[in-house]
Amino acid sequence: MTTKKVALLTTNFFHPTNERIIMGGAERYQVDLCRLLRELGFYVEVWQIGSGWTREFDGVRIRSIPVSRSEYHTFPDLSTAFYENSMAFDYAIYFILTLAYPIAREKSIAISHGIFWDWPGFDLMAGRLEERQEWLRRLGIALTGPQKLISVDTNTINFFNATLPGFYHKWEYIPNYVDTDLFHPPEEEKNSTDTIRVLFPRRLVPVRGINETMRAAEKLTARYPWIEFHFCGRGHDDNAERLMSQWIATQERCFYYWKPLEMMPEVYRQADIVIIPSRSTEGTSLAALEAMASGRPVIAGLAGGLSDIVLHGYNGYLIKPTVENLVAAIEDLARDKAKRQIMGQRAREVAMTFNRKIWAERWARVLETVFR
Amino acid sequence: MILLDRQIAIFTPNLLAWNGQEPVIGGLERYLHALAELLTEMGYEVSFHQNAHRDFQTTFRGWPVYGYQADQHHLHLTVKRMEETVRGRVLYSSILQQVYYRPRSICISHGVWWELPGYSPAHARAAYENYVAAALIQATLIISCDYNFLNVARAIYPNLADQKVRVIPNFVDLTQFYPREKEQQPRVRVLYPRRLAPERGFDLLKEVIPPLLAEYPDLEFHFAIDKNTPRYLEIFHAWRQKEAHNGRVLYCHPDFNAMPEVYAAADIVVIPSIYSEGTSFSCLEAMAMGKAVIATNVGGLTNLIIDGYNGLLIHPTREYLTQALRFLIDHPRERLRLGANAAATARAFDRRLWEARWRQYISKVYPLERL
Repeated sequence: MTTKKVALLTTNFFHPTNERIIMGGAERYQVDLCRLLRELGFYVEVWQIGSGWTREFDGVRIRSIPVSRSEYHTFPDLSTAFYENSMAFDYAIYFILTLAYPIAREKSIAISHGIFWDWPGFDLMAGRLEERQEWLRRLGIALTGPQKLISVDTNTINFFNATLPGFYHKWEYIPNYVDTDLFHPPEEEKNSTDTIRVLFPRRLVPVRGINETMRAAEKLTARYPWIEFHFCGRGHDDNAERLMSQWIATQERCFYYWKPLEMMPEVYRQADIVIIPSRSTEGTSLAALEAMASGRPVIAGLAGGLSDIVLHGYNGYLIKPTVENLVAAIEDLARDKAKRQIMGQRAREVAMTFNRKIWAERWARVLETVFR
Repeated sequence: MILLDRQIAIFTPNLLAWNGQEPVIGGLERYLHALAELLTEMGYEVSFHQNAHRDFQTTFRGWPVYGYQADQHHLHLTVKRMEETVRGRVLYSSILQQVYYRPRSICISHGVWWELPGYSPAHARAAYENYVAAALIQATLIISCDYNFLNVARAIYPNLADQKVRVIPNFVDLTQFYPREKEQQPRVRVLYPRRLAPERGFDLLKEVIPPLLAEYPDLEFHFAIDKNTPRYLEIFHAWRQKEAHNGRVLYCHPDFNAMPEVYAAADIVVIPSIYSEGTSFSCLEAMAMGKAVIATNVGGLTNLIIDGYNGLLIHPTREYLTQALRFLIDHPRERLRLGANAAATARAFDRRLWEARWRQYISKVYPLERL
């Protein structure tokens, strides 16, 4: 039997013009999905925007298509060029839902990583009402091509069924995953007399609640000499990182750094409380799942897929991430060791059901129905 | 200090049947009983205003209930009349049929309701533009029973929904619903504790039952169903009569107080909703009873069940439902594990927590005194 070939289309795994690559959640997902496809016996290539170069990453060839036009959050030239040039491939994966517009390969699957248009600022990006309508119209067309639509959270499926219905049976919920062997609780929890460490393990961007968290940190460190805040993540640019460092220098017991992925399990293990205070634009966050797998109670914003993994008052808290609510929730957990312990333990239990092996099985099942 | 009006009028489609006699059985009605009890305890004077065949005035559990003559196809006219008749403070029991929301009012969302299969984008748009937008713009707060409504509304109206919607998940009364010792029975019992309405997935469930009954001689299905709609009941009986193994298709019409026993006798509980679902009382009660629940990934059920942890969360198709039932029938120990986790998670939905959250918003929007 000849090896079947899969082409995965994305926009920017590598930066189109240089070799910079920031391994965020989506990039990690893509690498893991390519590995899974290869394990299942497929030949995989990734296609993206670029000047026509070809590179390799993790044993996978990455080709670029020299187009860049983007309109209404879609990439019609890229999608069309991909469609025409990938005929030698048996199957396709649209790594971003809108890439399936205006035309998609017959045996294909598209992935939604969560709703990103649920924040007030999107109104500015989407522009005038007609433009928003046009964007929605294109999104509707993107749903028609692929045989299966994968969503990392249930919220996205419910949104589409409530706005662009008609694809009820195409949707499959495959939540994100965590390597529960790598991310695990410490062998021994640290002594209760230690300081309480609050960890913010996200990028320094407003939708992730960075500004509310900084303000909450100011209030709580002033109130309690035994509380400390750790901000662990990159900014979108040097300036954001510089501003963060400047603010940190003025604060007591606040720390800012970032760590390579392989150090993250230890970063989580050293925390007592992990906060994921997203305002919006959220799926089943990898950071939240990793914190949970590490046995940490999570304080999460009530956005997107976070309500698929956190049960308020059971394995963490789901709050509207205002400064006031953040302070109250952190205070509540910081002062109650027993609660942190029981919630952390339940968080670990819940995370076990988002184990990477289960994710791989769910994907294998979908691949079996479409790629045949 | 000025004492303010203690009266709160609750507008609702049907607390009682349209003849003003028997109470309607359903989640919305149960919700309103609990809310009216809380309001009464807080010192408010509660009255209900609802649709009726012809105008009536009666009392229910001590609360005055006013019926306003209504035509099924022109319900907005009845709402308009209620609006004109009632002075003072109003609490709107659902988004569905309201057209007007007065300033300083709370409106309750029981979940996204318009996502039925077969709708077109135009239908869907009409639903949220005509109903959701009005509530978001006019009411002071929308209390949603699930996170899903908030997130769907926010993906459509990012600004408004973020400002106006707050979530208070539904509750379970842990003094009534708790795990009980189950008597050893030779058969595995699957319970459907829902109304027979189409959105609750009876049609989906009945498709998968015949092959399973044929395959498993020790399996039985138990329907704990309502008598609200005679037509649905006729369809149920017609179906049951034709079913080859109908000796193992049982049914009952329990009142609410009998429900703990009904759950106790089951091994597996199915909540196969296909649309219009919030944080279902039935699902929460089955969880609190420590049962293995199979729920669909529709609406607020996703805020209760984490697949493989405290139940099974499936896409609402025959294949998935059959597979999930088979799995639980074949794995009694998995039923116990999922049930134990379900009972533990249900404690986070204790009725007292629900009351505490509601109190805050009631005091804010309907203050009893002003300094």
